Amino acid sequence: MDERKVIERLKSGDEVAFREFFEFYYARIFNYAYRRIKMKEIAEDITSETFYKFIKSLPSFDLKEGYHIDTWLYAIERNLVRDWFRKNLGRETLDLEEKFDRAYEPLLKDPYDSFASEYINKTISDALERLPGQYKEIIVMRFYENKSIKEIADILGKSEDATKVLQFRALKKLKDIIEEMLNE
Amino acid sequence: MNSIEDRFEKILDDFLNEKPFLHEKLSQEEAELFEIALLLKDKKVDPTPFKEKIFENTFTVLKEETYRNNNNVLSVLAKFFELLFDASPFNNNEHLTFDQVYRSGDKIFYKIKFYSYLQSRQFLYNYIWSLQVPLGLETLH
Repeated sequence: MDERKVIERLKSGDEVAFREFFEFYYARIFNYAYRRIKMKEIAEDITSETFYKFIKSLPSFDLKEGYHIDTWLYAIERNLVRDWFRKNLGRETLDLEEKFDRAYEPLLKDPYDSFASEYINKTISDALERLPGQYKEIIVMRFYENKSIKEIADILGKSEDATKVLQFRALKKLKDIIEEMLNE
Repeated sequence: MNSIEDRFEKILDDFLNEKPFLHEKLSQEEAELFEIALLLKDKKVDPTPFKEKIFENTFTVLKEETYRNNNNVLSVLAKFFELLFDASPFNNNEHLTFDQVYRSGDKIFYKIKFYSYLQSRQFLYNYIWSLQVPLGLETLH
């Protein structure tokens, strides 16, 4: 794909070029946002906003040597994801994600890298195995079996408040284990 | 009960049920646990249901932007001058139209090319020839 030609065609409003461009990048942009935020509506908004900002910046865009369309698109998307985290979590980046990045260093840094998420998933399942009995049970029921706090409380024979406390502690413990594993 | 555990469960419940995230900024402790929730929630989502909607919206924006860029006063003037004088600035042996030069935002390049063109014989020839056109005279050819 000659990226310069693609940019020129997009600048002229060519629908065929835009369809090809959109088909090529849409799933990657959406999946990256979804993998970071895990909420489909937010991932949809970020995908839409990424394309919107890309189009808005098209007239002034100049494809310099060594610079690619996906670098540009990813930079836009990464900023949008960071904005979302800053607005909602009070910070731009996630500590654990940075630790995962340091522990797992792919040869080529690709934001859409699926091996990175495989590595994260394996670390999580190993960490789950190390959790004490009831902590593991509540995490599995809440996140993997999609049970509500009320359902879990009934199964465990506890009050809802006690179940919320148990869930809170289980997540804290899981975080500590993951950090330990990443520091090993 | 209105403890941190209770507040966090409300956030988590909305998050797990894909509801909009309508909470104030999370505390340090909540943010750390939310990170774990992000790692744990790994439902595969099919991106296609939103695809056409996003395509339509963004393509509409592209059409509007293209129309605006092609029809602003400077762009129209550039096209007019280009038609009249057939200006052909070159950059690295690549032909550039007036419109491309204008859109590239390289004002110094534009100035140099344009003024050097005005001083050239080609300009004089094109200018005189363009004056002949309305009269139907092509004596200079």
